[in-house]
Amino acid sequence: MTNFIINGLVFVLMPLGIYFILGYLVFYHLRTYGLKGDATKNTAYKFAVILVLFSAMIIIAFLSIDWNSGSAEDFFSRSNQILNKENYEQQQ
Amino acid sequence: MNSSNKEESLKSFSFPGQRKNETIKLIIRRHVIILISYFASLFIMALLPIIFYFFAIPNLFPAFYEYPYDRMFILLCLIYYGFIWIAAFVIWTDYYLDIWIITDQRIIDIEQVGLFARVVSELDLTRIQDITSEVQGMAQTMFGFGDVHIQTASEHTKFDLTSIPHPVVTRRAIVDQYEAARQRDRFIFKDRSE
Repeated sequence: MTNFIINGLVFVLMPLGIYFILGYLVFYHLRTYGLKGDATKNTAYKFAVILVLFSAMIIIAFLSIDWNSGSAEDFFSRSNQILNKENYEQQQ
Repeated sequence: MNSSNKEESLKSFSFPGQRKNETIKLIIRRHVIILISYFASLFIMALLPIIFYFFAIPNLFPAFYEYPYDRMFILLCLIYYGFIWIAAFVIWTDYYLDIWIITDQRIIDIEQVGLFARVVSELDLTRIQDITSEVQGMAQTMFGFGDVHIQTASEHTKFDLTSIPHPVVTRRAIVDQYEAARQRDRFIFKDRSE
């Protein structure tokens, strides 16, 4: 559970927070300084929709991971194990 | 689009600080090739995770092909692509808000510098002293863009419209507006003297 919360903060809340702040700044600029009556302003909404889709995919990807099943040590040892096995097979 | 249609479509635009009797004659942004060149660098950056997945992972971290690390790799890629998308968004906004507006009275130069700085300067058409268009180099010649330099009699001595499409046509349009403004001024002075 602790892993889930910490990783949630790092991999979901932080990037999504940055997306939101930057996205808001862009929208603020477009709304305040953009020309009135300009149709290309709609492009901003298309950009935003894609960003929301990215955010949704990040949340789905995050939820699909079992955060208690792996660790950095396990990752590196597993990588080494596979590489060693490949090397051994090539030598044979 | 002919000139009357263009003027008609420009009537629907307005900008903050527009005078009551002021009509927009031309709205100029930098040539789209400038935007494309920025997007091209983002595209190259977007290819990096794909290159990493197919060429670096098998030789360095093959565990990325196994659960749960494969999902983690996807998650990291999504976060990375989100940032690239945001960067594209910021670049597009910068391009979209960098604008030169030519009205029947003045030229307004609005420059958006990133998301936190904005420079707006304006020049009265009647203060123009000299105007030059410049197309330099192979890229500018091929894609039909260049610079227009305007020398003025005011404190802000030089006004540069950089990397704009059709610089020669733009120079001609500014000269036309300048002549019209001078003509109008002459009438006003004549009326006052009578």
